[in-house]
Amino acid sequence: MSFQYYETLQDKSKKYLSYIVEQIEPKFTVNELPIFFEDINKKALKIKKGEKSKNFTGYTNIGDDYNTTADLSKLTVTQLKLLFQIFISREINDKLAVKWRFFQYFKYIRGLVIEGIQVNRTASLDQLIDFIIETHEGKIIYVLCFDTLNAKIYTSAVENINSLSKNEKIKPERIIFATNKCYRNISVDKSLNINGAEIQPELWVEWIEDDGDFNRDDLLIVNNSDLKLAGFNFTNMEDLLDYIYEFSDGGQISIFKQKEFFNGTSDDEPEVELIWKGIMLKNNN
Amino acid sequence: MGFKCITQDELETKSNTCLIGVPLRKERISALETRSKIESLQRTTSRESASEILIKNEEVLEFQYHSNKRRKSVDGYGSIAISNNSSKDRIWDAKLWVSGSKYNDIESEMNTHLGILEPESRKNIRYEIINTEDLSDLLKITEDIEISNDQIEIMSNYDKDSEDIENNELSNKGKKRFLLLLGQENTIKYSISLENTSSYILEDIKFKKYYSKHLYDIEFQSDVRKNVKVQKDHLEWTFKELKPSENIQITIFSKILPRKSETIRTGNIELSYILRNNTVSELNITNFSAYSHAMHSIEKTEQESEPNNWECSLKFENHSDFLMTLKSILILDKEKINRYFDLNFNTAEENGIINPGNTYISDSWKVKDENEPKFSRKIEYSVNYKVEKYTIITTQLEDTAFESVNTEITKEISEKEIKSYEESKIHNTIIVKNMGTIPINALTIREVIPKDFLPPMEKSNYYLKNSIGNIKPGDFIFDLQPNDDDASKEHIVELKINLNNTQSRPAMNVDDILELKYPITAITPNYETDYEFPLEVSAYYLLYDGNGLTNSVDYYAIKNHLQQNKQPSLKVTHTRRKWAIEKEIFPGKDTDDFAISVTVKNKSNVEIKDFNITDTFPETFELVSTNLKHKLSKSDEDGTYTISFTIEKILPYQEKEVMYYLKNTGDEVNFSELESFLFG
Repeated sequence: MSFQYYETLQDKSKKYLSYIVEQIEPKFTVNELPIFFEDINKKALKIKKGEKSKNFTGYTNIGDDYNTTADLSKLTVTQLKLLFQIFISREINDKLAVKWRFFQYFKYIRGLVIEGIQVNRTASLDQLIDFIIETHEGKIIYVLCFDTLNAKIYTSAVENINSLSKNEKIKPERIIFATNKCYRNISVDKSLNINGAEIQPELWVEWIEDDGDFNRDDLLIVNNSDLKLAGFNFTNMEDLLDYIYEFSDGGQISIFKQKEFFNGTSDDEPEVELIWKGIMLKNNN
Repeated sequence: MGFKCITQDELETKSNTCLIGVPLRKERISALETRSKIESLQRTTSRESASEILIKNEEVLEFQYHSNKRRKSVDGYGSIAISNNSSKDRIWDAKLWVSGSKYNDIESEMNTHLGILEPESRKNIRYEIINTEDLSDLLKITEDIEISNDQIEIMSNYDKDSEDIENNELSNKGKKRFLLLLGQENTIKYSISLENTSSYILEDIKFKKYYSKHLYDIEFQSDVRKNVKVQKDHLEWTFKELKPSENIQITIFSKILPRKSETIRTGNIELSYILRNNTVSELNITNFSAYSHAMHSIEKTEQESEPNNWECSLKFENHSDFLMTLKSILILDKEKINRYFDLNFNTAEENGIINPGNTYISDSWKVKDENEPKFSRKIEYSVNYKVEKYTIITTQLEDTAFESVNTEITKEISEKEIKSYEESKIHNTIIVKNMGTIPINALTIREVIPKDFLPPMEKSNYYLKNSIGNIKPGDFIFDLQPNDDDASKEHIVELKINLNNTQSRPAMNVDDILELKYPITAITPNYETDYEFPLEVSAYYLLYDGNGLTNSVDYYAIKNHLQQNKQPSLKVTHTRRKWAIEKEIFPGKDTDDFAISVTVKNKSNVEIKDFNITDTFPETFELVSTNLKHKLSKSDEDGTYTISFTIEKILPYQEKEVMYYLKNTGDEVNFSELESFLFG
């Protein structure tokens, strides 16, 4: 069982789905989870009467409660299935699935100190900017997510960005195009003129290594911490290392894998194999 | 959830499933650059070594097919790269004329002004390939998968020779299923053929067949044996070309032993090839023109013997590295009324091609003028260009999944031992579990009841249930052969679930359990016979998905037997009892003392359990001791003592002695009473 498709799961019971969904990393916070479900079900943001917001029109803050963890125990089977298909099997690859996978990735992206994230909650396909991120230095980053990006969509998206930037009087520092699949006919080396500012666009693709060092159903154990992670959370070794850098104390790190831990069959003597060893230097070390 | 920020170079050249289209071949670009540099070292003076404007029209297409061979999508794009390969000469006012077609998004007649191209530079025009659904397939890939296993059989419930069925019903066939038998070695044969259905020669064909890492003993047969590499999870095959209508085949043999219930993929097929000097979208580069370094002048010579009479000619010098083509020369007077020289090279005998560094001198014309004659001139020329066309095509045939199937059979009986030649009842429980990844459409359970035993003749005595609940007798078929109660013959019990109704709900869902209970009566079992109850379960699976609407179906039948060592043992015991009880009175040392010995002798092969012995002695005796726990009581009527013992067990052919000691306490002794009633 390699978690490729929900339909091939042997056990679709709520108990098992809850168990496996609990392994999704990073965890959703208390506020993030309802926003995720509303967004994925295309329910637009409700603005309370008389509410004043510093947010951009149609956007809401997310991720401020980073020290909380959402309770998944009360989710329905339909909700658990959705989480499974987006974050574990990754068999859903539409724009919204990419959007929320990229959001998860942002929690441990290297070299970026985030002050605040605003998520697009308009449920409108016309509004292409999915996240507006404010960095610690007060710079603005746009994130646009796509299922498949080609030259035509890219050109249209750039026009959309220009329009929003002029309306909101923003000069973004960075523009990130995140996509599941991408045609090769896009010119990312050509800078964009957005509201008078020259910006080099960034193309981020979901990079999956098929013959990687670990599989989705492996358990990944980090030696000098309590980190035990399901392989399905990561699509390549670089991805795993980024996560460990963010959520461990650094120092000398050994990563082991326990093969097929999540596949339902357990051996009396589990096979544990070293897959990475090295030192991670963090500023606080 | 790993994302990666990629550069333009990675976007164009890296291979990954997230990038659509064929990666550019880096080495080809490098080769082009290298060639340009070498050429730049020498100033060319001949046509063969001249620099050139190279217009490269390249298209990339990706055909994707479903596993059922139907086309899923075709995506593609094209590019026109205009390269100035000269190391020193700029070109300017470059213009490109292109005519489009229904397969690209270029206007039907497009004139693109490219402006200036510096030496060793390139300009690109990209376009999309559209209306791809109307594009014909260039290559037909067929893949047949056969799985062989001793226990899997393909069957039909119709006459395959019937034309009506062939024409009307089997057209509803869906996707073929491929079954692997769990826990058994399966042989898989992939027969793949590639047929060029186009009118082009397909070149540099690279074929890749992926398969599961669990396959072993991989061998192949192909029309062309060389250039085949077998890797752990795929086979690579490269060959030079495939001519129109040519068909080439490869057969891959492999084995697999699935050990657990999991989905194993059959493996994608990926193919890439090129069309040289052709593009699929039918784009046509109609013309290109550009200027570069050239000089033209009019030589005016006054005639020696004829003053004021001038002989004139036009000189054109190609100062560039490029071949140039003169297209037309027009010489007029100042007012542009009188034509002195008018030459169109399209219609002239000369071709107008001027090699680098060469000069063209026109025929002369004469004019009379007292002053120096002056002319208006218009020279049309262009650098030459070369067009190369190239199409890279990738094709992907999606795979499907192998399904793992098997049943687990267990059997229990209520009695482990029965007595010979005696009638007894045995409760028989058979449990079948679906261990596979797909439901079982139909099932039969067949058990042979040996002679001396009888199964129930009534269907109502057979209890069948699954995880949902009891299955009603009306929902399964019961068959008993021979249908009689003659225990001198063997009987065959057969239960068929869903067998004639495979299109409805399955007989067993995945992981479901089916329990069959019925009593068997032992009539006259012989202890010298080893009785066997052969049990066979046949599971039936539809050969095709989605052909439930027809009554004529093909299906896989998989027979599973309860192995000998898993059959519950039934012992027929033959026991006949025989024993003796001996009593003996021994006088003691004193005249008043007596020892009574009772010995039980087991002379049979049967173990004796809880054997009771009761003896009596008169009230004139008192009990002194016993060698075994006893019970003693006294009769109220005559005062006689009753002593009783229980011997827990006496093994076959063993004996056990009970002794008790009495002492006479009375005056009168009736010794005969010591030989009183012994019960046992």
